Amino acid sequence: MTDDSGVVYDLGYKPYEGQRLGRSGAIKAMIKDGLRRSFGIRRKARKKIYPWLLAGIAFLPAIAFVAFAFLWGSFSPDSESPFGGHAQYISLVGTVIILFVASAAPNLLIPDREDGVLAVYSSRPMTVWDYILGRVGALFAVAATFFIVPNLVMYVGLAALDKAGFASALVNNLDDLVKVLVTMFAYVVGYGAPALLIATYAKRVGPAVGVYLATIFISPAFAEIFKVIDLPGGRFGTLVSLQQHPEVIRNWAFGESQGDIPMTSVGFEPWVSAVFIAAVGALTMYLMARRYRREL
Amino acid sequence: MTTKPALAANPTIEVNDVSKWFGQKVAVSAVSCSFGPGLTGLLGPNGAGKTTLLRMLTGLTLPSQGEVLIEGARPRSNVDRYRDIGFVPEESALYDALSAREYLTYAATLSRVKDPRAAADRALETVDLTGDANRRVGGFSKGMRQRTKVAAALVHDPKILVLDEPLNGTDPVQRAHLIHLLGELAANGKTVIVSSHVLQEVERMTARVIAIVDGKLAAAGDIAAIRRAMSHIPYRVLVQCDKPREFAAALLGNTAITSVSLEEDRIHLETTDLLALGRVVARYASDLDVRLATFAPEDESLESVFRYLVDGR
Repeated sequence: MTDDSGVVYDLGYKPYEGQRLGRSGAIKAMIKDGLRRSFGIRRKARKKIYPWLLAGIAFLPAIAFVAFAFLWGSFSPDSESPFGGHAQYISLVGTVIILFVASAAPNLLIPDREDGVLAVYSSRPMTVWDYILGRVGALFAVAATFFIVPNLVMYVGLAALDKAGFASALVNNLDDLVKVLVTMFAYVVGYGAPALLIATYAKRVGPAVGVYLATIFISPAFAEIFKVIDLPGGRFGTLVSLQQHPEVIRNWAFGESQGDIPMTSVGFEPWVSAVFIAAVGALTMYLMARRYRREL
Repeated sequence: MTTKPALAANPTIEVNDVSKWFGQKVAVSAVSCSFGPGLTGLLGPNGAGKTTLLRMLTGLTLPSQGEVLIEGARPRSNVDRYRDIGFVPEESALYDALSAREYLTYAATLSRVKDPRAAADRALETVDLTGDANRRVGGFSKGMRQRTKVAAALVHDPKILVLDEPLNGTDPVQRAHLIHLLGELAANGKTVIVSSHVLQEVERMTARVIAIVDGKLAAAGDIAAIRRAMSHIPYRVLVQCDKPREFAAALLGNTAITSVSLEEDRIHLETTDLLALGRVVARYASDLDVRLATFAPEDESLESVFRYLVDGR
């Protein structure tokens, strides 16, 4: 039986003809959503405690530092202080970033996949790269804020107290700001990319957090083992220390001693750490794109 | 005008010999059909391949073989095509922490609508959720969540609307509202494709159905026409009259009738030739002076058609 018993009338559908925004609008909206999610905004109180506690740990010492300098009077950035300078502060912020991305990366990626929310994105005029940029952008924006804002508070606050005057202090210490920016990329990418990579493949948030923290904090121990054992090519094993590559860049940027960091102890130059961080970042983006091409 | 019921006139979506397999499992097998303006019901038992087919229609899943074309182009070839597509997935697809208005504004922004807030408000009004716009989606009932999903699919005013089980979890009032809304959208020239396992509701929405069984196209077209195409399955006809026992006895043995059964005052007849049965019943009623109250096919409903398709009985 192949008769056609129905008729479909073309009623002259008029599609939406108003202005459309570009891709950037969608990506910005995703970044905003990611920021909101990372800080637990509009979520239960217990979801807010962890990110805001970390924000407090990252920001408050910088404010206290400037206040301390103000009370001390004749303070200058070169003076000894209980907090040290930018390099020492970055050490504190680095730990905060590790703890932050450990939780934020899986919370940004895993619920979308496991709760079937990816259809929200895949049925919109968005590419896989738009989705990835939206999520990665949110994580990096928060991590960069954690890094840059306290350092800016110190930079501006101390310039305001400098005996040489505010404007000249800003100019004289501009190189500090450049060093902070260079180091920021190393920390944000160096710590953020592995967190994203793990979250890309993990099915649940809790295990993803655990695996990331274990990887970051245990990897220096493996690097130490590679440093002391005498294996052909064993020195390359020291590069597994994910936690210490950003620290190598920080020490290099601020002219600090590399101490006994395994990869520099066995003769690797700081640029090797920079290449390593860039490679991990690129690999993460590649694997995310590959994974999400199947999902989106 | 096409002569094949699986093919729509003025198609917006064309499915050409599409198959999809996941490892050893064949989810959809060599399906060819098309969808045009108006409402089409996609039917099939659980695991028949409806969701896979719907995901392929929207480009969310790529076919293993064959192609799906939306207005002549593959949906994934150009993401801008998604400006014309609205999709309601079966799964949750909502952000519980956001209010309905925030979620729809977000969905509108992702669809690059210029004034996302206004678009969200329009969509909320369409699904009758304006009063709950500022409530968190996480606190919504299942029916309200379904309506929010429908609103998200409508927020950018798409030309094509694909809905996977949109009536799940809705109460009768909400269901009636959604059915009316989908009918209205179809009447306004949109291509609306609805999958559902609630057959009576599909029947209320549309006469045009496409049925998938075991991943294959089992039937397509008008429900009554599909039933007529099943000539190997006898029709069941209900007859009610003032002398049921006498009338049933008289009909016994007639060659146009394959079975007669009496159930209180209801006579159930089976025949392979509906026209011949009509003539026989009219003649006997006249000869025996019987007053007929009912003469109606019992199995032209979608449910019967569907049962025949799935079970072959």
